Amino acid sequence: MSQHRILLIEDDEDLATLYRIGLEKEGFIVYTSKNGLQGITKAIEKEVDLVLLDLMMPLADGRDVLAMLRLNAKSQNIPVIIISNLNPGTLDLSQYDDQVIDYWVKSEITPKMLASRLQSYFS
Amino acid sequence: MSASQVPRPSKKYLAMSLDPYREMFEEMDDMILILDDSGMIEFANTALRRQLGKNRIRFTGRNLSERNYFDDLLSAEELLKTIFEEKSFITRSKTHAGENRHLDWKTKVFVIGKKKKAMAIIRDMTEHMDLQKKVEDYTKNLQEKVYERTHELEKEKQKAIELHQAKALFLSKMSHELRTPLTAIRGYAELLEEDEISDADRKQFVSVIEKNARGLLEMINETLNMIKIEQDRYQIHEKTFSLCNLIKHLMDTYQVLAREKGLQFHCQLGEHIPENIYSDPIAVSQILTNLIGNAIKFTHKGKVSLSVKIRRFPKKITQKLYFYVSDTGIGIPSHYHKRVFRSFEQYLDNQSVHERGSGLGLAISHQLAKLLNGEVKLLTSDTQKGSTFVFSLPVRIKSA
Ligand SMILES: Nc1ncnc2c1ncn2[C@@H]1O[C@H](COP(=O)(O)OP(=O)(O)OP(=O)(O)O)[C@@H](O)[C@H]1O
Ligand SMILES: [Mg+2]
Repeated sequence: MSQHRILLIEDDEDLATLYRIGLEKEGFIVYTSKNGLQGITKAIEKEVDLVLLDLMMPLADGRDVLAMLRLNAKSQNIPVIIISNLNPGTLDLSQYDDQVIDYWVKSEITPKMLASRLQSYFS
Repeated sequence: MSASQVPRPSKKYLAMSLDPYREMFEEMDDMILILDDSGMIEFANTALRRQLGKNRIRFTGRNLSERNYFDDLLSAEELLKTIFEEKSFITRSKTHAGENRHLDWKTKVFVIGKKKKAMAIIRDMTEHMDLQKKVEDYTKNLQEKVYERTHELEKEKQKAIELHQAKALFLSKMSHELRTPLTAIRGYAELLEEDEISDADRKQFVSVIEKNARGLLEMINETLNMIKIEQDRYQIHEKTFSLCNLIKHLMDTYQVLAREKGLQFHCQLGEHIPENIYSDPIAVSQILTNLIGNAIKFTHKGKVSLSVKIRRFPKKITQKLYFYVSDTGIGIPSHYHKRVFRSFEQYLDNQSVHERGSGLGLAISHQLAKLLNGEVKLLTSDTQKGSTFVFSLPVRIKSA
């Protein structure tokens, strides 16, 4: 079982719990954070392997979090995957191109799919 | 009037050279006046006399200075002087009927013997000038209309742009707000498929699914209602119903939610609250649901209360109910007070967690209240103390 450390920055409680359960089942170590600022500290503190980042959040939204992660030497190399329910068609995703691995629409992925996608990323 | 009726000027005053043409001049449509430089009128044709309504007066032999027939503005001397300057000019005179006429003068001075004389050909320009004025007025009016219309069109264009933006915002917001509960429903359903889950977990997952499905349904209903309201298709169905039952039902529903959040939820009915009222129970319930739902959603500590009061108007069947929904929640900063009633407006401060919702609740409540001839207002809101909304509703009271 993989022991990868994932930080999930997601402000919706139901979804945060959902993904945490789903990922823990597959052996991931999951940290969650309800807001962006707390997320940045946690990412550094817990030395996570990957950040799953929601975009629409209070107290520093996804874009701010990404910028701040990239500014800090301790966090600038942590891979980030954006998970959001914002319509990718209406977003300018190119602005994230250099900074994130991927953009996933939450409604398209179930917890199992999320886990298997992450597993294949780490393998 | 025929020429024969016209009194003829006595021969004595007629310029000799005019004689052969006298008939001709008499019959001309233009007015003709011949006078000498002392102002003595030698000839005034029918048209001129008729114009002044003085065809029975003998102008011939009179002096212009005796009375100024022609101009209200110029004195006789000034008029005479102007005539002999061979200018063309316009005078304004009143007919005997009191009408204002504008006369256009063209004058020519000639010398007969040793005497200086002037002949004036005068044309009534009144109709022409009226017409001109009409054209001018019309043009001006037209310009104003064009201006107004342009302005209207600009406003319409602005509205269309705003509508378009609102629609775009609506779509992107809706897709996000619909996807979120769907994500939860799908995800928790998948978790339920697992064989080895505890009963507690199973219960928990089912309740999350239930909650999200309910939220989704609410959002869809809200959206459909909003669309109906905006297209003026929302039908109000008034009937007699039990207000007390409606409130009791709301209390039952929201007491549970409040308790889950560790909040108190009280209801206070004032005196003389009628058992039955005549209004639209669905709309009333929808408005109160939105207000109470918000109060609970945006309060994390303390209490939420619903208080109902009535204002009775003596001798009238219509009375006014007031529903006060108060909370000790996060409040709304004053600069945002007006905006909360607009569609899709949600105030996100930096402290609170993002709450689910489409931002339609208050906009709908506001519109529904209007359809019921009532009003939803934000009475007070303070980021320290919380908020109070009031829904006022005129109702007919039916005694049970
Ligand atoms: N009782 C309240 N306390 C604090 N803020 C409030 C309260 N009621 C409304 N608001 C603010 O006004 C906004 C608009 O409210 P509204 O009910 O229209 O939308 P919503 O609750 O966010 O979404 P929806 O009602 O469509 O689920 C809210 O997002 C919130 O910022
Ligand atoms: Mg609401």
